[in-house]
Amino acid sequence: MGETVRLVDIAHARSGDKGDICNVGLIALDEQGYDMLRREVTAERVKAYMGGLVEGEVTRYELPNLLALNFVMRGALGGGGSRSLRIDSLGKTMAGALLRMEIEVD
Amino acid sequence: MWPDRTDAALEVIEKGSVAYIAFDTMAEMTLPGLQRQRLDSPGKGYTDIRRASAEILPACMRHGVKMITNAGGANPEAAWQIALEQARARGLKGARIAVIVGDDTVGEATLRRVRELEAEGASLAHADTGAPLESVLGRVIAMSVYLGHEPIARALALGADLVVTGRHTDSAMWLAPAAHEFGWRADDWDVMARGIVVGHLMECSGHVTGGNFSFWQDVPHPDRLGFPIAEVYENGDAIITKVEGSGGVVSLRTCREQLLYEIHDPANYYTPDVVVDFTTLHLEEAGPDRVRVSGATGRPRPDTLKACLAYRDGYFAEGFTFYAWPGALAKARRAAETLEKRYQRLGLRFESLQMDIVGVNALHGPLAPEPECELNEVAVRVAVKGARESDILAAMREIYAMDLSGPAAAAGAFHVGPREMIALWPTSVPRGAIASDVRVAQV
Repeated sequence: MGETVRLVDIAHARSGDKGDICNVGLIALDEQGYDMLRREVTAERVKAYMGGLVEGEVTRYELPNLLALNFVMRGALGGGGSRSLRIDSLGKTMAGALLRMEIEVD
Repeated sequence: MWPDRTDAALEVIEKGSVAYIAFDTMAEMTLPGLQRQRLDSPGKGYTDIRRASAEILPACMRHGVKMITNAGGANPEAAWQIALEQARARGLKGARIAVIVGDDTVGEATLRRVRELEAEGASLAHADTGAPLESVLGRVIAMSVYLGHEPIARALALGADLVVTGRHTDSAMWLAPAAHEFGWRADDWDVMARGIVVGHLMECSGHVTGGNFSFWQDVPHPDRLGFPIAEVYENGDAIITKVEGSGGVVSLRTCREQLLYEIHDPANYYTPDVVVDFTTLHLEEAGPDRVRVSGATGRPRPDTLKACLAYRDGYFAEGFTFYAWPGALAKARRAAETLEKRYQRLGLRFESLQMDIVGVNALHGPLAPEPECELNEVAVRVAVKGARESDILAAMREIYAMDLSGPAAAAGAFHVGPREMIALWPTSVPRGAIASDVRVAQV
């Protein structure tokens, strides 16, 4: 078993909304970190981790030019800004929720 | 955003050596509320046009800065009239104020417009879920179409000092002045894409200068955070910076975070003006608080435009009550359980009910870990939504009753609502079915 780290220790992130879709831009601190994120933080793992808040599917996009992965999460905001009962109906704290996830590192 | 800081905007006008300043005053969610205001009162439904024209425009006129804002919201023409009044009252003689009238309807006219658009081939299905509009059609109250940069550029070409618009895409407000200055062709997809990238970086004001930033501890002087400035080159590349000596920070990291803000597929970011590829752009440091953004590419704009319908979606309210040591969390949990049982006992009917403990799980919900230490104080938050306003109000009253009949020492109960919920229905319409018009008046 390798060592584990929380994403917050190797990445930063910002999240936001479009209707009931929330995206989290997860950004590595350096190139080595980006390779690790790319290998470990798959759409499936994010869906499994965020499943309590995210009803729909999670899609991952890669932006190596920004050392970033973009996770697009559907059905993620309790109906979206204009319908949701959540305090965070705009998904501002979803980035933080993801940053608590642990991954294995080299 | 609305509201946002006036002094930071004035600093850019007075010390930033800028030719244009743009204000995005609308989030996606701002629109349904504004449409509702206009429905209730035909002269309302805009955002911060009064402050923009009374406090910002005079400084713009003094410094020769042209101003663009979507403060027209769901009622650009009413906002235009206010801007003209304010400009007159402040003696801004000669100021040219333009309004962009696009496809905004409220009330009964909306249903007629929907029928026309359907006749022209628009399905108006929900953009995210694919649901047919029929399911909410009887409750639709308004529609706004997201416009691109061209009408704003036209207004600037007509000599406008202030351009007031409504539901434009945010980023178009920054693409437009660059396209106007450099005479960019609307089908030069790469420069269009670069202009949108600049707009995307600029549109949330402090977001790119250290606001809402993960490394917030390192942001100097957040009380006087500088607003961003873009120095745009003829090929669309730009330097993002801020007024020297202002608070905040512009760095690769602030730019990366903002580039990723509210985008989906980064290789296919749809706007009315161009489909932008964010994966081809390059960021580099170009000095203290200076980041160069270059090389974004674009593909031809879509044949459709985004539209948002607003529809009535029942009633909403939320209430809070607070508990402190000893046993704050246990008391709050008992209160939440008791409230749920009361709602069942009273036979209240909701479409949805949410109970949160503020201090534990009100933001991260089921992902929140159990607290590791004893909490000194927490709040119970109850949010309900349903078709019957009386049930929602009854649910809120029960929160106050917890003071007398619930766990020991509940404090500070309050609630907000009930209010009618106006929900958004994002969809698309054929570009050819949408017309916009520019009008200019001189003070």
